[in-house]
Amino acid sequence: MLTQEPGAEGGRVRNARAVATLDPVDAGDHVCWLVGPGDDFTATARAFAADGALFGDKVLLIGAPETRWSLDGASREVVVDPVAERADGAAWNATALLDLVRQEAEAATRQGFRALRVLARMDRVWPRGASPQEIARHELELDALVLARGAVVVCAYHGADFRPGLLEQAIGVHPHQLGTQAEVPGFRMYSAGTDCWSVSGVVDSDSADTFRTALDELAARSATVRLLCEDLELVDAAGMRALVDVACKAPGRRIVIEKADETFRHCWSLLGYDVPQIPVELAP
Amino acid sequence: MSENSTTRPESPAQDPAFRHELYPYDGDAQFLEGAMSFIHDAHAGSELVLVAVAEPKERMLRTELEGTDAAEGVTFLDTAALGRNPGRLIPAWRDWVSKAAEGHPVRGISESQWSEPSAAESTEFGYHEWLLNLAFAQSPAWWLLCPYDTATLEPAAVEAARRCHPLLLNGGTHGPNSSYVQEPYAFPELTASADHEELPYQRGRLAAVRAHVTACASRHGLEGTRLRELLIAACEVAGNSIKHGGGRGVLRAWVEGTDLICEFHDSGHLQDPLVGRLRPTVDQVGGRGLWLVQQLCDLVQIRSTAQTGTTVRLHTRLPG
Repeated sequence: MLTQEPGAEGGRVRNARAVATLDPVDAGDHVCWLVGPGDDFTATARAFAADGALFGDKVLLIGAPETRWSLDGASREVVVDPVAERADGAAWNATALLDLVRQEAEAATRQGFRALRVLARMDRVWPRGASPQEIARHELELDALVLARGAVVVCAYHGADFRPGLLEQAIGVHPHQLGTQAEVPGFRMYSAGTDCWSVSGVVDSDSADTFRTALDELAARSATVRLLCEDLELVDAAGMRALVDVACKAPGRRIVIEKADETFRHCWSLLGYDVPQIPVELAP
Repeated sequence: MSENSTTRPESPAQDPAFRHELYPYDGDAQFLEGAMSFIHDAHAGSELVLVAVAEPKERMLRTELEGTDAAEGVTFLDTAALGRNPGRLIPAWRDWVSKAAEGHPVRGISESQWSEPSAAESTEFGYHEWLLNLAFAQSPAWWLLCPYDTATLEPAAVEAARRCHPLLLNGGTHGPNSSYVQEPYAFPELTASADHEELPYQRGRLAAVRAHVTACASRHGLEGTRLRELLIAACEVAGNSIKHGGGRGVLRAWVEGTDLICEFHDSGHLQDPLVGRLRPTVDQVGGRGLWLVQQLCDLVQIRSTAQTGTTVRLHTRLPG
């Protein structure tokens, strides 16, 4: 279930951005790392863990099979390999990842660390693949957790193991991105507080299906979804239709669009969506 | 490219429910004479009249109507708010005619708002006149008078109008128009600027389409809201190419006179001549893209055949 973590209104301002390396990532960052064939995952993971020691973070490595990265003991580093866990009979899945991140974030606070720093290999979390809905559901809930706990989470998606449509879905529900992908969705959806989500970029017919999937996951979990749209550059008719379809999909749903620009409001009206039977409210 | 396709009667003009009447006149005095006569006849029959004319003509009619009983039944369409694009007129008339369905007989007076139309504007207004016969083929009965100033308009524009109005007001007499012919609209050929920039596009390349349009628009000072509206229109047309027009297309952009023109060509075929000109319903599946395009652009030219594919030109008036 997609829940909102306590403390989400901690005053952190998040902006969607692409990063060239993992060096500048900071508390509250949730990065989708598209691991290409030329990327050295092991070296990058080592550097990421070493930065954790430098900044006083607790490090959680999920799906990294080698425990020899450990710096100075289990209290600073936790290394979990879902594949090995499953081999030992544990039911390890995306929910287990969320539980572990939540648990270790709380532990990191108790133990006096600055933050929890997580690197997760998603091909080992989902060894048999995942649907766009599963990816959206998991990543949006993880994002809410990242914001609430001030964690640093990097989700590594290996292009060889996820087809392009799934990578598009994954990128769209992370505020930050590392690595390039020929076809990336133009929008980013990420937590901005309790039941509130920022949407930035562009929703066009290339990305409307991905947007619809992400939005549907939010609406399925919360009767009212607030979307902060001040960084939304453009939404075309397909994107607006996705908003309408998701809002009207089940009784009781309501989507509140905040800070949409004049063009969005004009097009919404031109398309005839400013009517009571469509439970989408354009707030100031 | 193909959005909604609707079955329509083969010979819409034979349906007498819609009276589409040409009124060629020479100068303001004759305009007033014909228009006021039409309004007084409407008043005598308790019919309401919607007037969609340019601001100077509106002023003349308002002065003439002042203090008369007929003034009560006359509404002036805010043509400035409606914009320059004749592709937005049919929905306005459909809204008006819906009053007839509610038991109020209606009439209309419609004249092009352009004082000096470009060749493209003149062609598209003529096409709009032709489409009216199709759009109202099955509507409640109503009567539309279309004044054309023979003193100022190009003879070719008046001649084109004669061919698509079944009725004629001539010398104070309403009657059949012997020049009317039921035939496909004769579009003049689109001529491309020699100096244009091309961009092929396909799925996943809408961002490149927007970047290309933005670069061209920015060079000519188009920015802010007008640029965002053009980018949405560009997304819609390019998206139609990808979804319905063979999966790909080519974008060309250039400046012609005072307009930035973005042209999209693909191998699809738009079969419904009224595409984009009918207001979509809330629960309608698809068919919104070209509607939005018509509402956002200053002029839209669509040419589509099964043999040559579809070309859509978006005109945006440049600032200054």
